[in-house]
Amino acid sequence: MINQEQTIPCPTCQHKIHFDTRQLMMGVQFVCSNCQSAIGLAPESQPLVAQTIQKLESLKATMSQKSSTLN
Amino acid sequence: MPTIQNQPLIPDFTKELDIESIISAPLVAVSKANAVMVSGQTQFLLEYCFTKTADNNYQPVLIEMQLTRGIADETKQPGDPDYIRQETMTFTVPLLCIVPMNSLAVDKVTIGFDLEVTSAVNQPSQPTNGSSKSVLDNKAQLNGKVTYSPQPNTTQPGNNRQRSQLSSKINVNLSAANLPLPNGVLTIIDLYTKGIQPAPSKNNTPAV
Repeated sequence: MINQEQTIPCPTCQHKIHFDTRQLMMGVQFVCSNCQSAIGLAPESQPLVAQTIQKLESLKATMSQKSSTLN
Repeated sequence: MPTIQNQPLIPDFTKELDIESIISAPLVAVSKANAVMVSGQTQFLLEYCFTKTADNNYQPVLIEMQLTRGIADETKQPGDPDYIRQETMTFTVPLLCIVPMNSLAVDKVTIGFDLEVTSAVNQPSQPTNGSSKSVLDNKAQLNGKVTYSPQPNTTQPGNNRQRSQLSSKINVNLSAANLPLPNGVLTIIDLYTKGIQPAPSKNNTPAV
């Protein structure tokens, strides 16, 4: 489950911009509702973020497996 | 290294146990699961979101993001087609700020089972301050076992009455909600997130 409450402050006006990491990885830009600036992930950083999210998903699967064996 | 395989959990419901243990066991299991997740989460943070420097300090892994906004060209008139042009600048953000970390927790646990009290033992409690004997010096230890009882049938009110007469049966409902991230991790994320400033990292992009 991806956290739906993720925000990042707008570099221009510091207003909170809500974003979704998965959509960010797909190249979606998120617009600041205050100053209309759009932020997106730079193409150079997409592989690193994708790899990290994949590791996180893998960790979650492993943790779920481990916690189910604790009983 | 031995491999752990998923095996079906077959608890022995016929075994008599201390009621405190029966009720607390599921919560202890959830707590252990959360501890495992927090441990893995910390390891993940240090391994993928930080790099260890030579002097044993951790530096955040930075990623690049792009900011696009319209810039008004003051050399042109507001009616000109190129009066507002889109400019893109690059800024760096700690990877930690965009990784959805707080999803690693037990979301919600609801456990319900029926318990049958099988015996009650009168046990002396710990002496406190050498005070004289009183009613509080003894405590009751209830033993019981998990039992199965069918769902109450609403069309037959007699069933409910019959169940309420079984005073040795207890219906236990436990619920536990997830905990937020520890304050330390939240503070780190908050500090890094607030520290985002529009500092250009490439020389060929114009400053906003």
